[in-house]
Amino acid sequence: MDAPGFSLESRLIRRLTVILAGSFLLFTVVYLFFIQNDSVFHATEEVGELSRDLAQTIHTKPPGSKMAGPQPTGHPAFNKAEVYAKARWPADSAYAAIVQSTGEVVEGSDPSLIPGLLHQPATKLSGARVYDATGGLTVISNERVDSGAVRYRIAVRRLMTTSSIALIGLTHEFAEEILPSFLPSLLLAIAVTWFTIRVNLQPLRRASQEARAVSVDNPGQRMSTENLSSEIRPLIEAMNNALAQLESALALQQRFTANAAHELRTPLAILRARVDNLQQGSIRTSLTRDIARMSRAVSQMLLTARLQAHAQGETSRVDLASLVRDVAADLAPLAHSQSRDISLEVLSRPSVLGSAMALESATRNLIENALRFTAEGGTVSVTVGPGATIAVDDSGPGISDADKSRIFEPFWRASGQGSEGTGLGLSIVSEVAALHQGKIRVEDAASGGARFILTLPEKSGGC
Amino acid sequence: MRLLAIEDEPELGRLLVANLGQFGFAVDLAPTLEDGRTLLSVCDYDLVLLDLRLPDGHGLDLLKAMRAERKEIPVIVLSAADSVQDRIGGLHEGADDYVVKPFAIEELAARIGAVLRRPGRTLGIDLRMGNISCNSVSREVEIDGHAVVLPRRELSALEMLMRADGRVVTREALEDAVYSLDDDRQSNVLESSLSRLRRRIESEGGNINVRVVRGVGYRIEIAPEPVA
Repeated sequence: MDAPGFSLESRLIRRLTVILAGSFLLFTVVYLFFIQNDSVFHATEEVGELSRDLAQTIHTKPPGSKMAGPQPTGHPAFNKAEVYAKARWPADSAYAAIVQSTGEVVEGSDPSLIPGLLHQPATKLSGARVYDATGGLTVISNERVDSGAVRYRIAVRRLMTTSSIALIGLTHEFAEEILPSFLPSLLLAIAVTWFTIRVNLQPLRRASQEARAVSVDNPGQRMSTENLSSEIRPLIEAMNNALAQLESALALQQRFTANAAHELRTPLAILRARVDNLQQGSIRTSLTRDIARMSRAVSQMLLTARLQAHAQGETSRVDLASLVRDVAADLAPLAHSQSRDISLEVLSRPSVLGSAMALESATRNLIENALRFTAEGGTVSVTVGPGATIAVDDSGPGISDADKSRIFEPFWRASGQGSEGTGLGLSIVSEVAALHQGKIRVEDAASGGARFILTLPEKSGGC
Repeated sequence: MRLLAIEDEPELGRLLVANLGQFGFAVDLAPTLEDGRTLLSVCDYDLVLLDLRLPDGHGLDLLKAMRAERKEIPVIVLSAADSVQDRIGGLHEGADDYVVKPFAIEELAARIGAVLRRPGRTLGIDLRMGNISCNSVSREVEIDGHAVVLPRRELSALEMLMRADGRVVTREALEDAVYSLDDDRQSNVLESSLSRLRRRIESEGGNINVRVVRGVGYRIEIAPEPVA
C-alpha cells in the first residue's frame, strides 16, 4: 500500500484531528474567559472554606508549649500546616488568626493583617474583599468559633494578584471541570472519525488493489463495486467498462493474429508442397527460395502483430543460457551449410521472467542477423552473461554511428543489404526487449563487426 | 510404411500424398476428424500426420482420444499456429513432433523418419547418413560398404548423432548417452572420444563430418563433394 502521493485516509484523519483539537482548545479558551470573573468569587469561597477547616483544627495549647508571640498558655491554637497542605496553598500566600471577641489576637498574629480591619465588627469583615494599590486582593473570612466559655473568630486573609486568582481559577476549572468531561469526548470524536474514514475508504483501497492487478496479461481483471459509495462507484464502473472494451479489443486482435496465421500459412504450405512436387531444377530452387523468404516475412509479421497484441504467450521463468543454447543448436546446421560457424560462451546462468517464445524469437533474430553480415568462413560469437545479457558479435562491416539509432526501426535496411531479410528482425528484438523491461543496444565488436547486446532484468533466485 | 494424413485442405492433402510417396511412404488422406477416426479403426498405420483446424473439430481432441485409448501410433502435428502454447499443447497431449506450415517435404520426411527411429519404436533401427549406416539394435556399423568395429563410447556417440539427422546434439545429451554413471567424466573425455571417432570415419573413407558447435554441442553432416 505504499502508493506514491498522499494518503487520503491519513490526511483526513490528520486534518480532522487538528480541527477537533483546535475547536476543543478554542472552546476551552472561550469558556475560561467567561468563567474568569467567577474566579474571584471562587477565591472568596476558598477563603471561607479554609477558615471553616481551620476552625475544625482548633485546640487548646497545652501549658508550657513554646509559642511564637506573646500569647498566654491555655489559649486555643490551630494546625495551619495541615490545613494549608490540604488546600494546597503555598504557606506564605495566606494568613490566619484567631481573634478574641474583644479584638485581641490570640494566635497567628500577622503584621500584614490590617489591625483596622480586625477591629471592624465581625459582620462587616466577613467576605470582605480589599483590592490594594498593586492590584492584589485581600479576602477576609470571619468564622465564629465557640471554645468553652470564650468566643473566638477566625480571620483568614489571602493575598493574591488578580492574575494568580485567574490562574488558580483556570487551573481548577481546567483540571476539575473541562478535562474530565471534554477530553474523553475529544478522544472519542477522534476515534469515531478515524474509524469512519477507515471503514469508508476500505472499498476504495480494495478497488485500487484490484486495479493494480490489471495488465495486458490479465485483461479480465475487474474492480469490485461492492460497498462503494455513490461518489466513487461511477468512477469504478466507468473504469470497468473501459477495461471490458479493452479486453474485447485485445481478444479480437489476438484472434485476428491466430486467423491470419492460418490463412497465410495454409496457401504457402500448398505452394511449397506444389513446388516440392516439381522436378529438381533451377526453377524449383528459385521458387523454394522465394517461398522460404515469403514464409519468413509472414512469420516475422505475425510475430510483430502478436507482440503488439500481447499474445506472446505465458510468462514463466526462463533459463536464458538453455534458451540461447537451443536457438544456437537450431541455427548451427543452417550456418554450417552457408560455411559460417556459431560459437556460444556461457558466463553465467541467469534466469529471467518472461515469454520463452518472445525471447527465443529475439535470440533467433539476433543470430540470424549476425549470420547475414558475417562473411563465409566467419563465426558468430554468442555470449550469455554476465548477468541476464545476451551478446551477439558478428565479423561483418560493423554499423555506422548514424545507423546505430535507426536499425531497430521496423523495415529499416542497411544500404547494400540487398533484398535479404524482412527488415523486421531487429525491430522484433527491440519489441521483445521492451516487453521484458530490457534494453537492446549495438556497439562496435572487438572483431570489427557489430555487437548486439540484449539486457534483461534478472529474476533473483535464478537457476 | 503406411501413414494417415488428416488434413482438410484438399490441395495440400493431395500434394502430401504425392510428395511423401516419393520418399516411399504410402499416405491415406482423411479430410475430417470423422474420416480419420474411421480409417484409424479399420487400418493399421505406422504414423499419423494431424492438422489441428479441421471442419468438424480440433485435431488435439482426436489425439487426446487416441492417447486415452492407449493407441500409441506416433503422431506428428501439422499446423499453421507456431506459438509456444500451441507447440507445448500439442506435445503435452502426446504428439511426437510438431511441424509448422509451410514446411519443406524433405524436412517433413526427415521428421517422420526421426520419429519412427526413436528408441522404443520397433521400426527404423537402421540409421543411415552419407555412406555410413548404423544398426541401433545389433550395433553394427558400416562405412563405405565395409563393417567397422567401434569402441563403445564412439559407437554411442555416432548413434546419437545419426539419430539427430544433422541437427545439433547438445554436449550434455551426448555425455549422458556416452557415459554411464560409473564413468569418470573428465572435461575433455568427450572431446577425445569424438576426435577419435572423427579420425576413424575419415580413415575408413566415410563421407560425413563431425562438426563442433562451440559451447553448444556436436552435429554430423554429409561432407560436401570435394571440388575437383
